[in-house]
Amino acid sequence: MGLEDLAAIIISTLVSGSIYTLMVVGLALIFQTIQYFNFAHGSFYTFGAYFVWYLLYILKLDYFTSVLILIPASFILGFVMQRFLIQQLVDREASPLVLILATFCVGSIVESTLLLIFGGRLKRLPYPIEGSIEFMGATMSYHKLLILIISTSLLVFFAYILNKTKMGTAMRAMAQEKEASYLAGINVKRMYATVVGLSAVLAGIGGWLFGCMIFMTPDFGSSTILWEGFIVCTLGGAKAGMKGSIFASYLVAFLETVLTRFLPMYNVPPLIFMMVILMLLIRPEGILVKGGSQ
Amino acid sequence: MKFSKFVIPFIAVGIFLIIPLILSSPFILQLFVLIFLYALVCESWDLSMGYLGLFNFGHLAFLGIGAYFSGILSLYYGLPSWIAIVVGSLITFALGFVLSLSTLRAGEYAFSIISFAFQNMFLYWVRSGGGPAPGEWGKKGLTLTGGTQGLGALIPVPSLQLGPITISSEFKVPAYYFTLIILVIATYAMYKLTNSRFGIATIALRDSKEYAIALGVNPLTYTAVFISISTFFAGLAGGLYAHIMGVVSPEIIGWSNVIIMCCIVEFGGLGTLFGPAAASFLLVSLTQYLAGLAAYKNIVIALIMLFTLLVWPTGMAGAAFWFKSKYLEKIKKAIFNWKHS
Amino acid sequence: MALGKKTLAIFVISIITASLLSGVIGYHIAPRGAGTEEAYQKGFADGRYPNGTLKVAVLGPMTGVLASEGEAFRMGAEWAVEEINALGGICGYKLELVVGDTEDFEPAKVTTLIEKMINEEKVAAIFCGYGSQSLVEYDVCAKYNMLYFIGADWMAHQDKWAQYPEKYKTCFNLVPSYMPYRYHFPETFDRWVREGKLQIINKKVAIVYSDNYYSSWIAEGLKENFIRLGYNITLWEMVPFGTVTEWGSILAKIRADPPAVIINTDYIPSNEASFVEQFLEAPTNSHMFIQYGPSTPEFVQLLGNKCTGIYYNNPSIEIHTPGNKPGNELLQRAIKRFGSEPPSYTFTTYQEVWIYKQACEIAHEYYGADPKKPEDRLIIAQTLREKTAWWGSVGLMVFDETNCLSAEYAVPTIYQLWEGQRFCVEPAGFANADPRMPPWWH
Repeated sequence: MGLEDLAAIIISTLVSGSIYTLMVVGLALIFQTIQYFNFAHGSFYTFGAYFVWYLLYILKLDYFTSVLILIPASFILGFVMQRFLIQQLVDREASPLVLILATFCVGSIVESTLLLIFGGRLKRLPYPIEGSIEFMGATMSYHKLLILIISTSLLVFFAYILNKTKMGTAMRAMAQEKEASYLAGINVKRMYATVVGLSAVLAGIGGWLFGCMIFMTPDFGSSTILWEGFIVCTLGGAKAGMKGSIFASYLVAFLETVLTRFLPMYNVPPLIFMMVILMLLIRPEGILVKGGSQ
Repeated sequence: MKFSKFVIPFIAVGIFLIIPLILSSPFILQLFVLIFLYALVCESWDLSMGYLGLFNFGHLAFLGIGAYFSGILSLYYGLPSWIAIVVGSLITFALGFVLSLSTLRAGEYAFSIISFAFQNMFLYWVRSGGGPAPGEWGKKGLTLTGGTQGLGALIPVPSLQLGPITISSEFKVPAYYFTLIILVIATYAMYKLTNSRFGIATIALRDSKEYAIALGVNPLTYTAVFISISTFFAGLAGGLYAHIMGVVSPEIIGWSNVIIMCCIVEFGGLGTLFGPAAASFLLVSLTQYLAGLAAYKNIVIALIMLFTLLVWPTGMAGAAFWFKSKYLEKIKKAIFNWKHS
Repeated sequence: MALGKKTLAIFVISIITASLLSGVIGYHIAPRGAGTEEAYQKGFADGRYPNGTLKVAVLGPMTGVLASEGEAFRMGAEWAVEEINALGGICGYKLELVVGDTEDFEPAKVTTLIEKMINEEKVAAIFCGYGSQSLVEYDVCAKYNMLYFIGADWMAHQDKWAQYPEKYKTCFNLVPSYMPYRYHFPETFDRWVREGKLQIINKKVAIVYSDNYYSSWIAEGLKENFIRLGYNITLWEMVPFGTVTEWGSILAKIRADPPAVIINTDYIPSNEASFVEQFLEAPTNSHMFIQYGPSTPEFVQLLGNKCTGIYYNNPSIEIHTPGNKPGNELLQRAIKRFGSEPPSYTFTTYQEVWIYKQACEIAHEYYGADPKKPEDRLIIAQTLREKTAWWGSVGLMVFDETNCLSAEYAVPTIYQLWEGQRFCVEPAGFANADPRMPPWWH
């Protein structure tokens, strides 16, 4: 196994890892603060891709503007979903099953609407940058490099927000002590909605980046992204939060890359599942996943 | 009074018994067969989700295991269908027991996720074909589970022979009555279970664990047995599905089915038995009624679910109880007054 | 009970807004087709349909992962129904199209849908692009002698016919034998090499396929034939059925041991597209054969120049083949109607309906058959097999004794994509170019 193979593995891991991180950080963010899995996350991806497509090809805006408009649009989508629909359930301390079903329904509505508006025909977004570079004998396309850069910068940005700003401190406080946060005067509802809004922005950007790599169908979010993200998030562990999910993303990326190099690609997903099972049996990061009896 | 609790279910069963005599459309009869099978799966799912409060994401895996294993046994090994179905259900019972016993130790969160992972792995295995089919079928190129084509694609899974009666999708009326009878018996069994000492004790574990343990209830074993009974019924439904439809394909345990069943359980009302049955009838019929609208149908169903979750979380069963508690007495009084006026 | 009035209000408002918005945007986006609506209305007003309406169904995945395909089926059937109605319908009946959603092809759903179409909607015929992989539809339709048309899954069709030779008389498949998928490219490629038209670096072949009957059957055949011609299979890799975006590891194996030919039979166009793009990041001196994707308009449109040099084949001629006058004309008319080339299955359902019309009219003339009467469907089926011939996208379309298109009239063809265009490179009768060395060679 030469230097080229090593380089290929490193690059594949970094790229896949950053894709997974983008998928997972949004989910983990919500899970840590509001304690539910947002099953509409996949549909936010789809929304992102189709929104950019619409701005680019129908309204004929330029690429940069389209992506720029995507950010507030995704934020509004997530914010509205949380503030006006899901918040009611959270207030009622509904069980996670209910929240999962509710977010899934929202996701279903979003994607069905996209299907009705845009039709099912395959579409694709153009690459922001064409071409590829070489790195120690292995190649990486500029688009993948862009994903890596965006993913890492967003991570750093979020880490900064969580640790250094007032809003971030409030978010972290809410994750640990909801009642005390209320007393401290934090507008919990607005905070929650902001968290989901930010998560939606991550998903929207992820959707845009994905829309360049695949042929878009109006449900690619909920059929592929959602489940991959969910699996990786679970591997990261419930309590581990952001750090755990980032670690899990890169771990899964690494394992997938290395294993498909030596094993037939077919057996890799079941192996990942096996790992999830083993991890849960050996080190369950268990919090009780029932809203009522914490 | 105990009898009055069952008035609605009795009336419903009565109506269901008469339906084939009025409506002879094979389409509607087949739809009802599916409704009954879905109801069976959802009721058993409610045992673990509603009564125990444990998210058994992998419940449908047992539906699949029951379907595939009983299908394989009768198709490739020539077992009589009813034996294959019973064996399939016993396999799911045992697997459910082992799975829940080993994972509940690690906590409820672990249980949920592991059952989810288990279902995914089973789906993968089924899609991959699981190796060549036994005996001469393998030499013909058939795989054990049929891969993406499914089991019974070429040679259908044998139908259920009960003496002179054949239960299959060829003859809708026997299939209709048979599944209805199985559903009624199973519901009764589940009702008895939830009201038995064992059942009540296990359910009590959810709310007051320490008290239950103090009373000598072994939480893990009790829960595991309870769950394995629910998986037994899932496997039974799977076995019936395989032999009535003749074909089992991986989509039966795919995400669209998981979501549909989840919605049925939720819409029916967690923690009840008749709720999921009624919801199965309503949601499946609604889906068929709206089928012409394609994507609009998904939106309507999603909106109905959101409405249920947001505004009326106790579902159908809750609505029925609310109605009864609020209006039944008034109606009774009005009838009484009218009779005696 | 928590009836949040505010929530309800917002609910209602957002639904109304959303529907208004989607209506506006949808109108904005919808392609304007050539106006056959007028012809349709005119025909009806003329009193041209003395016998009333005849319902026919088109089934396909209208929602879910495969929604794009279902839409294609529907488009083709709608187009045919409009044209036929404008010409007076079938045997004095006006055609009415019923659309059914097969979603993910779960057998229970599909059989229920077909029972509904047959018993509730009382359709006279069912048209599909393709159905479930196990073709359960055949069994349901056979029970009622319902005319059922698809255009795919030749192997599953043959399997069923071999198992029950007389059962599926009313099920027709608009595809010719798929055998050329297995032998045509290997044999032709080897001949090109021996004639000096193409250079190869060695006699190795890498084959990537996906986990389903169609893909693996073709891959096995290609493997068998390449070995027979003296090549070695150095990569034999199966990918799970579904979306694959990361081909890095497989491509690394290919780059470590570059073969003469790279083959990918994973027929999902998106997967094949990402495979090609990632290959091109560091290409090897190999020839590339992609099984299905390149025949779809999206593949060529969305990849553009990147797919220059790729081969694909067809078990017969197709709408793009130069010299295929009926096919080329059909393509031009489709482009005029839809604004751009529609997906391939549009043509399948379109032709199914037209062939059905021809069969009905012949059966009516010869045997007095009435398409609305269920008992006459067997006569129409017999007419389809014995008396129907149609010049269409794949040339002369005649049914053989297994209700598939006769291989007698099917000429396998091979194409090479070059700068966004398709060139037929085999056989000589249709070829308008020679095979060229791929541009990524260095």
